Amino acid sequence: MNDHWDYVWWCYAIGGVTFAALIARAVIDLRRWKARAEKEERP
Amino acid sequence: MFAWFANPERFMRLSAWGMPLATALATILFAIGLPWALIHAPADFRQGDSVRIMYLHVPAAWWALFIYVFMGVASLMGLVWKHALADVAARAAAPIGAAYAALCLVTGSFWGATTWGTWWEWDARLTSMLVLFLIYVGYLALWAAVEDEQRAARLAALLCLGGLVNVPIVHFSVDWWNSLHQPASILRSGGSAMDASMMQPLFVMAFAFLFAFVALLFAGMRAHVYRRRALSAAMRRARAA
Repeated sequence: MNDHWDYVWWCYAIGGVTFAALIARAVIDLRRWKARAEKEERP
Repeated sequence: MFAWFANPERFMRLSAWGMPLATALATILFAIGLPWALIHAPADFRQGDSVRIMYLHVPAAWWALFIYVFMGVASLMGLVWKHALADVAARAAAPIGAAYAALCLVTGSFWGATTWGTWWEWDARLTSMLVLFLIYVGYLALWAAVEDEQRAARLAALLCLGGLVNVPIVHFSVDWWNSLHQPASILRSGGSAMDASMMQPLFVMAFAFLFAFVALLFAGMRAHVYRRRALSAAMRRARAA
């Protein structure tokens, strides 16, 4: 392992956090609005 | 063809299986691509292991540009043909494009620190990519700032179409100006300058990013369709009461 790996790990960690944030946001939004639409459309 | 996709009910049926399919494909490709990029792909003879940053940086850059063009096409369809899902598609794509552009800038900065000895340089490629990210942020801010959705969609579409000028600037900046950034080594006339041992994992990662975008786009669009349904049902109720 050379010191380039410090930079490489950081990049992959930031990439992981980016995708985790995108997925969390998508799941939260989708669940929230699906539940709200079902509730509002209920007779 | 676009009119066929613009039907919200048809889109909801299509995305109900398209979203899990794209998620599965992205997961499989990341599971193959990440160990390939981090372990099996060779180190570069000049850059050493720092070249592994490329497997995140380049797909993020490609798709940040592609997503912007996709938003431009959707914006045009929304403005001209008033397709019901066009502005929804552009709006749902924007945060993903912004995240990819930010990832490209940050990983590029790390790569620059180790290969050029500087985290940032006001060079044409880096600056035009930063401008692309700022346009994404402006587009999202516009949607958040304007309350009337139809007006917001129209203004955001105009901003998006204006910002398209920056896409060829980002792509050709390394040819038009003297740049610290290397010139195109894959998508260039005369064929790729990259060895297959690096190109293969790069394309696996690029397709992983693409399918992740498709899955996230479908999820975002479905959330917006549900949102519209919820708000119009609430309005109908309020009128009836």
